[in-house]
Amino acid sequence: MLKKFLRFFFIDEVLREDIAFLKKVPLFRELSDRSLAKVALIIFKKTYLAGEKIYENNNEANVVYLVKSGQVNLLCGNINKVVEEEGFFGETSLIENAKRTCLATVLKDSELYLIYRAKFEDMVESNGKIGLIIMKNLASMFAARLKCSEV
Amino acid sequence: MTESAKNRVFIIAVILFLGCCLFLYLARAVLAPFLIAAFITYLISPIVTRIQAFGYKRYVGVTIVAAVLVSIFAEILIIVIPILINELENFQFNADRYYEYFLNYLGGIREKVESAFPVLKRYDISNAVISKSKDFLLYAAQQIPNYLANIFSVFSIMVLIPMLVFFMLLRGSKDLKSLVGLLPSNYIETVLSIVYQIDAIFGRYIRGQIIEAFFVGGMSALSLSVFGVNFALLIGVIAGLANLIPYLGPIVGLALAVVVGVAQYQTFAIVVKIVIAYAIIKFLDDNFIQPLVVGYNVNLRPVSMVFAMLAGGHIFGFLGVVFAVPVAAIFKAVFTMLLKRSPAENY
Repeated sequence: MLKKFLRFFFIDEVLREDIAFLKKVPLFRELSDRSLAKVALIIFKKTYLAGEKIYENNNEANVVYLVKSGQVNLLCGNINKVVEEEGFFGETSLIENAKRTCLATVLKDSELYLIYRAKFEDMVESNGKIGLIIMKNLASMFAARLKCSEV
Repeated sequence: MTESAKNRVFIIAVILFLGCCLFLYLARAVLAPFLIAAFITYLISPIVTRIQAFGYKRYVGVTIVAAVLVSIFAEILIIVIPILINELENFQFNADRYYEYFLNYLGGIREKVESAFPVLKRYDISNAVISKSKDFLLYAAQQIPNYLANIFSVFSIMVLIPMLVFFMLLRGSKDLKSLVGLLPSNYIETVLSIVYQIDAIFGRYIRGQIIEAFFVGGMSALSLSVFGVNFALLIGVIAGLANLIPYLGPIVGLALAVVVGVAQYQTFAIVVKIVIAYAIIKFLDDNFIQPLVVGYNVNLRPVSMVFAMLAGGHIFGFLGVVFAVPVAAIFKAVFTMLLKRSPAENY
C-alpha cells in the first residue's frame, strides 16, 4: 500500500514507459536506465496521420525520428524501406548537419519520438559515455550496411 | 504552399513579432520580476533535470532544489548580511570624511592645473568642471537606490520571484513539447532550430554571467581583504553585481577600491596593489573563467555589444542593459540561420 502510494507521488511513470520503449530501440542498445532517462527527457513526442509527409529531399536534417507506434515509408532514390515500431530513421542528422536525401511519409497513423541534434549534443557533452555507446551502435549499423552493399 | 501564401505567412510572422515587441515595451514596468525569474530558472533547471533523470517526477526535483536553495539563502543571510550591514554603517559613517577628502584632493588638482594654465582661472572652468562632476556623482548615487527599489521591491523578492521561478521550473519544457505536438510537420525542425539557438545562447550566457559574477565578486573581496582595504565585502558584492553587465564588473570594483583605498591609506602604493589585483582578476576571468563557463563567444562585435547595452538601458533601464547582449546575440543567430536556409526549403 505504502509502496503504491510512494510510487504514485514520486515516480514518473511516463518516463519509465519511455525508458522501456527506448530500451527496445537498437540505437540505444547497452545504455543504462539512467542514461536512457536522460535521453527520454530530451525527446519530443508527435502524432502523425497516415499520408502525412515528415520530410523530403533537401530539407535540413536536424532531427532523428524513433517510431513508437505506426509505420513510416522511406523513399531514397528508387529504394523503398518501411520503418516499423521500435525502428528509427534520419539518424545521419545526429552525425552531420546535412540535407535529407529521402522522402519520409507516414503509412499508418504513427506516434514518433523526435530527438533534436543540438539537444543530443548538449547531453553527450555532459555525458561522454552515453555519446560513445550511441556512436558505437550507429557505427556498427553503418558497418553492417556497408557489408551488405559489398555482398 | 504557394509563393504568395508563404509571403502572407512571413508578413503575418513579422507583424506578430513587432506586436510582441511593442507589447513588451509597453509592459516594461512589470517585466523585471519575470526576467529575473527566467534568469534564475535558467540557472537551476539543469539541476532539476538531473534529479528527474533518476526517475522521479519533476516536482520532486523542484522541491529538493528549492529546499537546498532556501537553506543556502538563509545561511548567506545569517552569515553575510550582518557583515554587510556593518560595512554599510561604517561606509555611512565614513562617507562624509571621504567626500571631504576628495573635495580637498580635487581642489589640490585644480590649483596645480590652474597654475599651469592660468587661462582656466579667468573663465572659472575648473569650478564648473568640479561642480558638474559633483552633480553627476550625486545624481548617479541618488539613482542607485531608485533602480534597486524599482527592480527589487520587497513584494518581488519575497513573493513574486520565488513563485514565478517555482512555476517556471515545474513547467520545464512542457510548453515547448506541446507546441511541437501542435505544429505542422514541415515547421518542426525550423521551430526547434530557432528555439534551441535561443536556449543555447540565453542559457549559457546567463549561467556564465552568474558564475563570472561570483568569481569577480569573490576575488575582489578576497584580494581587498588581503590588502586590508575597508568594505572589501561590500565592494566585492557591488563588483559582482556590476559584472552582470559585460566589461563593467572589474572596472566598477577597481574604481571603488581605489577611492576607498586612497582615502584610507592616503598613499599611492595601495593604488598600484589594487590595480595589479584587478588586472590579475580580469586576466583570469578573460582567459580561464569565460572560456570555461560561457563555452563560446556570443559572437557580437564590441561596438554592437555596447550599442545593444546602451539601447537596452535606454528602453528598459538596468535590466535592459543586463539582457541586451543575449537578446542581440539571439536576433543575430536567428536571422543568420533563417537567411542561410536554402531557397528550396523556404519554410
